[in-house]
Amino acid sequence: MMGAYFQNIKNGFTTVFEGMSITFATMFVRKETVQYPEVDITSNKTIAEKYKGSLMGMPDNYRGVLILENGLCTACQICQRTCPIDCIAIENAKCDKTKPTDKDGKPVLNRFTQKEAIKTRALTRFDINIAKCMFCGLCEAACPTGAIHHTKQFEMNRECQEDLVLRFVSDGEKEIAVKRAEEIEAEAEAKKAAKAEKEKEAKEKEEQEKGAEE
Amino acid sequence: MTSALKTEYLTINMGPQHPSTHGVIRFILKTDGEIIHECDPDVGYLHRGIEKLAESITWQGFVPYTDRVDYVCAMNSNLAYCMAVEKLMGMDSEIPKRAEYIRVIVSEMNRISSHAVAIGAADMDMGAFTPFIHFLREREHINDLFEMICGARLTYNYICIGGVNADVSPTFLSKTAEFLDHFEPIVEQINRLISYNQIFIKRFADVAIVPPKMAIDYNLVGPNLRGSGVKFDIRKDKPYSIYPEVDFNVPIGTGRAGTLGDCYDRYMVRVEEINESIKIIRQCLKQIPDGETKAIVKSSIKPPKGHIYFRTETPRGDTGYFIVSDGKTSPARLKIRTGSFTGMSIIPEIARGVFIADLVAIIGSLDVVAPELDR
Repeated sequence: MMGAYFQNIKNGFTTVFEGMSITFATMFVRKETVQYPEVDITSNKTIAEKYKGSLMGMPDNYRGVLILENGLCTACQICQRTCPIDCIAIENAKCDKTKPTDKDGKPVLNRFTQKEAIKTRALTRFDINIAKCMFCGLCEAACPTGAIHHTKQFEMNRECQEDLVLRFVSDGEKEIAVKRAEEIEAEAEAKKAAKAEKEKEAKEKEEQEKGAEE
Repeated sequence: MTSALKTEYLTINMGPQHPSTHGVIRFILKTDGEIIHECDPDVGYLHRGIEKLAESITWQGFVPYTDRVDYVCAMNSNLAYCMAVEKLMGMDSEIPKRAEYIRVIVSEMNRISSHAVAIGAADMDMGAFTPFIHFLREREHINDLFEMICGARLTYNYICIGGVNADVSPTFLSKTAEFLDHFEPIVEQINRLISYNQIFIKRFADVAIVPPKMAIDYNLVGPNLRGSGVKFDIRKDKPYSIYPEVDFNVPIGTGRAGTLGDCYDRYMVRVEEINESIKIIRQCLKQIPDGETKAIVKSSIKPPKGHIYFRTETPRGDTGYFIVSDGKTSPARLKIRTGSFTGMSIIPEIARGVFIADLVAIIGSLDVVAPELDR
């Protein structure tokens, strides 16, 4: 009885020191904590400047805040339809038929069909609500021209809620696009009217000819 | 005489903001002194209606939502849903072999990180904070590896219907092997730090005993069921993916420190499962073939009319997805069956007559995760 009592006390001591030996050993192990604001964590190279641990920096495919490259976008609205929480809002208007080009001036290929992408509509609105966005990457995977993609930006504090909506089409650009769309529409209507008039004239001529025959 | 000495039970709230409830779970306790007379779990604080949301979004659009069902093991949730939909579409044989291997590697990695959190949190509830920090440090390495392949640290959306979203690089495979070599000794080290600690064993042993029959009656699943000595693992008994091709054991509770099915058994089953997962990943890294990682799937799929129930082994037991399709672009009904829920339902039974401090041990050993419980 007494023996078991002292055995318990001995066990309590040895088991504590066993654990403490590991705790003390880790004092001499490399520190893994990343001192975030002081250390630039945006890539493998920048993190190694001040940080000596074994964690890696952000990879190139990090899914941060979304960004749109206006020049590549064909306003096809596929990303809007793919988004499960509707954080993308797109409005578009008719524009001249163009082929979007990348930075080097080469025509952009549709990633799924491998044909040159054709732009027939211009953006009048492209808003991404990053307060709603859940950074799932579905829009990026669905975009045929690679216009919408994730950046490495992960700090999303803004002063007010309106700032959380990223607007990629400015009011000036919207005005130009709307104006051009109206012009195109007017041109199309003028063409239509001219065509109708031509047809009318042709008909009248036909009738006149018929009348002359009779 | 007895009626004259009748004492009133004191009703107290434990939670929803109690540090040991792992999220927001509330227990209404009727206590007699320090002994719990009745324990009534109140769930639903984290209910987000994910099952209902599924009915209004596309089949592929629901995959990121499964990340949020259980964010401690998002890969396993992704896998369970995607395999269910593939089975419903009858395309489960078209999945490329390489994708299957990648899926098993990432889901076993996620099992390691999930069990690490579960073990660490159980230790933390018992008052030992150090092991939790050690495990979180190791978990960061797994998060780093996942970030490398899919760009996110917690809500991966990596496994998709038809395969995986992106191929893994050889760097990932070599770094995974490196991590396993680094992590295996650490499991034993942390065992020495806490699992074999006499004080910790005395605290966990013989608490909240769940006999095998009771575990089956209450429909416990996963490590909680195996902790009661029932050898049932879906990876072995109803194999899916490439699990028949890999060799691993199913650890079960044997009454290591006291009675079969106590808290310590459930705890140790998790520790041993980490070692089994390491074994599985090592074999997969050796066997992984080259080739495609995604079968051809339309951008908007319409599975045929019908229903399916498919279950996979996740760290918290078997997660089942019951999906009804009416041939449209979104599911007609989706029901998720999770291990945390059954773990929660046994608490009123086993918490009767224990100390309040032991209830914390019970929750820790059952590894209840609040978002998975409420969905």
